[in-house]
Amino acid sequence: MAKTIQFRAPIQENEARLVAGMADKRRRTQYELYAYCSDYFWDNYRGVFFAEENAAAEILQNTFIAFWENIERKKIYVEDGIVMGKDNKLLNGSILTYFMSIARNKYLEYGREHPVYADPETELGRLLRAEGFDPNEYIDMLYDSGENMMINIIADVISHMSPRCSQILTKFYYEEKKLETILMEMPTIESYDALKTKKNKCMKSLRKSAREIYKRKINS
Amino acid sequence: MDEKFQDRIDNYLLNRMDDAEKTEFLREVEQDEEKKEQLEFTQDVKDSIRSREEKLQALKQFQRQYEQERKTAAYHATGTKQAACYCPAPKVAATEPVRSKKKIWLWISGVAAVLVVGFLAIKPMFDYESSPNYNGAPMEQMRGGDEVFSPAPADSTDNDTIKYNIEKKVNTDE
Repeated sequence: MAKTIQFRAPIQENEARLVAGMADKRRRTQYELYAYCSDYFWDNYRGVFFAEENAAAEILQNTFIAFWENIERKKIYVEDGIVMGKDNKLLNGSILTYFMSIARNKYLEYGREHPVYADPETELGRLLRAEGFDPNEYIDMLYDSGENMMINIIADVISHMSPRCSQILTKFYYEEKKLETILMEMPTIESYDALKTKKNKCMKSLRKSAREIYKRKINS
Repeated sequence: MDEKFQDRIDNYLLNRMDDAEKTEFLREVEQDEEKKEQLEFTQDVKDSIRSREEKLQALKQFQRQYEQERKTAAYHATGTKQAACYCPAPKVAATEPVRSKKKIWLWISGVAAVLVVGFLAIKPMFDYESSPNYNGAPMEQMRGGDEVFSPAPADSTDNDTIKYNIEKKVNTDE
């Protein structure tokens, strides 16, 4: 059976190298990918959405984390030196366009929390059309359907938790500290019971938000 | 959400149960869909928090390195301390070819300048060597050669013998 030869531009080869290095947890390449995406983001984000620099920096951070997780979950991966997307399809555009699609979604999430920002859809459309990119083709790649969708949603909701909830849950689940220890580190919480109630409320609210978003996405 | 069961989920996920408790807990979860869903949700939350925290730690380092590199790039570009500010949008990939293009043009114009100066310095020497009598060639150029001065016209006083005689007479030294 004849093998199809896929020709790649130097930029595609470089992007494949960066994605592969990210997946292999090579720290130097991870930084290279971060710098590559950051340069493009700071040069182009104003064409995709309107946000002041601090908000843009927060969006960039959340976007890069989501992008990184997508590589870890093999939503995009490298095969034979070519960047692939979902269902073994080639990622036609640059990974930067894919990255900016995530950024736009993060911006929309940010916009829901900070309604002062308008969404200039037309600007995004103009930019994406100029690059010959149809964002609808990539919706499935940004958010998995079925079981994986829930973990994406949870990751998104966690990134928008209140600082207090984030602090408590991080200490409890990531640092694996006991509630007694956390109580000593957070003197503003008056008692063990208050801390436990707070922690359970955070989990409850997290679950409620994640379920609502999940239902909305399923219905849409 | 069952808060008492949440405590048991936490103990299970954080390895705070002995083997017997774990077996009992898992058997209970298998029989109750609601509890199973609660366990899966908590597991996802734990995994997501761990993943996010690890990435945030790495991003802190990346951001520091990124800002440092951009500051250095800005400093090199202008040579002033004032330029060493946080500039979030410099285009490294774009500036490199520009810099190398400038270098190439500088190099080409330098070579051209050396050639022109060299040519101007060497040219008179060639003119001297090509002169038929090999003497006074530069002087000839300054004053004009024979071809510059046309012969005196017939009605010129230069050929006047009277004038010549007068001049001869005036010259007492002879």
